Amino acid sequence: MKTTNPRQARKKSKKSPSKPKATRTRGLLERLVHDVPLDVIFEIFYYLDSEDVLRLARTSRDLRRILMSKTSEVIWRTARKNVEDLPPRPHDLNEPQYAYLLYDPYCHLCERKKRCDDVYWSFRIRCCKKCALKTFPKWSEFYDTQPVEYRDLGVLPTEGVAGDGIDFEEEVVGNHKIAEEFKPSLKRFKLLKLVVNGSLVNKKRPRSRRSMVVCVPNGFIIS
Amino acid sequence: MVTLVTSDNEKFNAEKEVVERSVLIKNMLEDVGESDQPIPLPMFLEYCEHHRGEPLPAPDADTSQDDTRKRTTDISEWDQKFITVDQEMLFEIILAANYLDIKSLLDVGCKTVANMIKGKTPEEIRKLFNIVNDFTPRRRCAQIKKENEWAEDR
Repeated sequence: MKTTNPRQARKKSKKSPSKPKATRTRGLLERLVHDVPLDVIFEIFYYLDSEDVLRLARTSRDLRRILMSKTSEVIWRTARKNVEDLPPRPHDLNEPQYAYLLYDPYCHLCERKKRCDDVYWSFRIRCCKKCALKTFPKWSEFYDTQPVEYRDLGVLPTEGVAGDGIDFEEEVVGNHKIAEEFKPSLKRFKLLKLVVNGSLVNKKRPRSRRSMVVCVPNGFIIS
Repeated sequence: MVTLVTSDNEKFNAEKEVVERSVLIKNMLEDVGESDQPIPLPMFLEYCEHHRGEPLPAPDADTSQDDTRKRTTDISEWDQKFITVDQEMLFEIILAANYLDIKSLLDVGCKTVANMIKGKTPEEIRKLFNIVNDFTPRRRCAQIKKENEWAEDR
């Protein structure tokens, strides 16, 4: 006998399209991300360190979207603080950038899948020697391109690229991009009072005035 | 004594002092007052029984510690055994601990998930949690380059 009950018929037709599809079941992490309040997820992420967060942000687009949102900055910050003795984050790098520099273990220029431990901190880059020599100008060439007022101050960032092979002589290189970023602050810096060996010469000036704490390598005089 | 009833109608008797580890139940009991009315809820008695007598966390005690203290994922031996369950159960425990507002149990759950993530490569994380890698190979490079920027700044 055919079912004529419209309720039953509707029920049936409604049921058929929602038959369990052959999709994969969501794993624990995705279920947490989707079904649990965000503060619980944050509670989990607060236990990770920077390297873990960096890797987690590369597992799927979904997790990446969450971690690269600025509201997640606190996760990266907490993660960084979970690592003991890590130098503070430079102000010109954001949290993911700093984590990338610290923990992504490959050359950031050629992306060769070979571990690379050469980090040129003042250039804010990790790269292999080959890439460094290809990318950054030799100091002698770099020096000639710099305006006279910056040349001999000894403050434009340089890095030494250790030579390999028979002679281990280090090649000193400059970086145009970093130098350009550096110049405005150098200008401001030069406006400050004469500083010798890290202490203000004019010591009589009351500290309450808007004075900046400046650090200069021993022996450099900026007037 | 308080009677707890699970969603599939199983009844458990427990002492008030034990179940008050859940802030939710504590509040419920305060609202209802002393009564014989059963309170519905899922599994968590074993955990509360074991931790009876331990001081309950002061309300909002955890909010200020976030930025200053290094967080450890150490879990006591008993808790470790308690939380050694499959991922499905772990999910339920976290869900329940959050709902029932049992801070210490939620912490154990969160630490366990964090420990599962720690030290693993993206590929290992995907495998463990059954996550599909939905980055296209070409995107990977672009993605890493873009890692420099917050989503909102792009």
